[in-house]
Amino acid sequence: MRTAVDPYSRIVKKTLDRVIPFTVHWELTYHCNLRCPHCYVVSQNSREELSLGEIIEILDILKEKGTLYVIFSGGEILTRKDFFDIARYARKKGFALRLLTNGTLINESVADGIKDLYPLSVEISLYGSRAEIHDRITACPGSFERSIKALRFLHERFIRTVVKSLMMKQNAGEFQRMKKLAQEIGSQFLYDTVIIPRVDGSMEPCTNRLDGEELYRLLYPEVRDKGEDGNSQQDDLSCSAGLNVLSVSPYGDAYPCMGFSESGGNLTKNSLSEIQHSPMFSKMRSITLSELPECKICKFIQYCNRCPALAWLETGDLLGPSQADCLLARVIKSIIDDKRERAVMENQIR
Amino acid sequence: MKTEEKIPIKSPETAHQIIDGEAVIITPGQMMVHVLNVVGSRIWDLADGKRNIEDIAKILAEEFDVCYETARKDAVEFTGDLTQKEIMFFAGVGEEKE
Repeated sequence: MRTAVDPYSRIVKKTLDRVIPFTVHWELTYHCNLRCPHCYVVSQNSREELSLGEIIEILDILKEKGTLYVIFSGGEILTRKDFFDIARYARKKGFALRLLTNGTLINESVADGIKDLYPLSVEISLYGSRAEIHDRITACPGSFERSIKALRFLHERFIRTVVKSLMMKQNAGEFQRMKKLAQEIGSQFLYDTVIIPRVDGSMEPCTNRLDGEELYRLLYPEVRDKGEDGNSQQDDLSCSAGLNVLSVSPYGDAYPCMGFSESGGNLTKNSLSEIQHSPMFSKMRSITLSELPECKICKFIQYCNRCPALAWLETGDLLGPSQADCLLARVIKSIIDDKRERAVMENQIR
Repeated sequence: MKTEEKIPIKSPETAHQIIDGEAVIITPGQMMVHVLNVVGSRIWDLADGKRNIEDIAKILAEEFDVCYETARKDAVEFTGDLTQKEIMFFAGVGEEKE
């Protein structure tokens, strides 16, 4: 009677075709105890964040509409005093939870509470392999030690942890050491090199982005040659934002993904259907590669993982190229070309 | 306790959703995803910690237009399979049933 993992991709396709919000990325709060310069969040102080009651109502709607995965992030999720009430309710409803946190508020007792939630993962942001680097970025002395302790507390409780990092000018030299540290702790290591602008359009965080040479040095050992097709960009752009992915702000505003500043409506006022048929969501779903005037003729497209939200934030044009994605694609192409050339030379020498 | 009197309960570790009649179940500890067929999904949905196997089989027989014995066999087999995989467990009759 039971069928195994294989039909899962069929279910995922169904959620894409039917615009079912299978994954919801929910920023529970914009309050944070760290002050990272690359943070894209802009708090709207005049607005009240959702109450526990409102969150519960929205979780009920999401369950009914087909959501399975809920990613809670912030700000810092544990600055909400009612975080465990929210998370316990979400688990009672059967959602699969991923928790994104800086870890600084996780002591042994909080780790016990997290264990009882059976999360898929707890993903902790780390920006260096030592306090000197990490604490300078977070502008919070002691934050490194607390985040590392949190990872260890969680690991001791057999909770799957992920060390997530954003590689930038301040920590590019830390990359390999961070990978090693994550491995020592028993965590998976994930990283990104693209710093996104603030949602109010400020490009200030992007001043910390790595330039082409720095990216090349960082990514050279990481990039694998996948053959002539590279990353083979598909015509659907492989972006599920607004299809089976929905993002929710601490105020209940719903977006195709967190990179957008224009919402499709508010979940306390509008139905999910109204939001999914709003101009922003409809536009996101309709984009195909053929509609992108510059990208469709770009020779680096097969190395590009174009993010529409990033293009939107950088230029205000959903259909335009993103500076950061273009640079990354050029660097990846250059690394692959150099590795191929090197392989040919090595063969000749042999 | 007779098999029919057993009350299946979803393991609190699981995460689950029903998409178009098919249950998707995740076990975070094992990082496994299971997709159940329509009958299995209905049994999963009916396993609310209150109904016993007899109650579930009666509903299945009616909804899927099969005889009670076939439905009972399906319910027993299915719940047994999932309890072995620790996705479900059985409660005692007096513990959960109201």
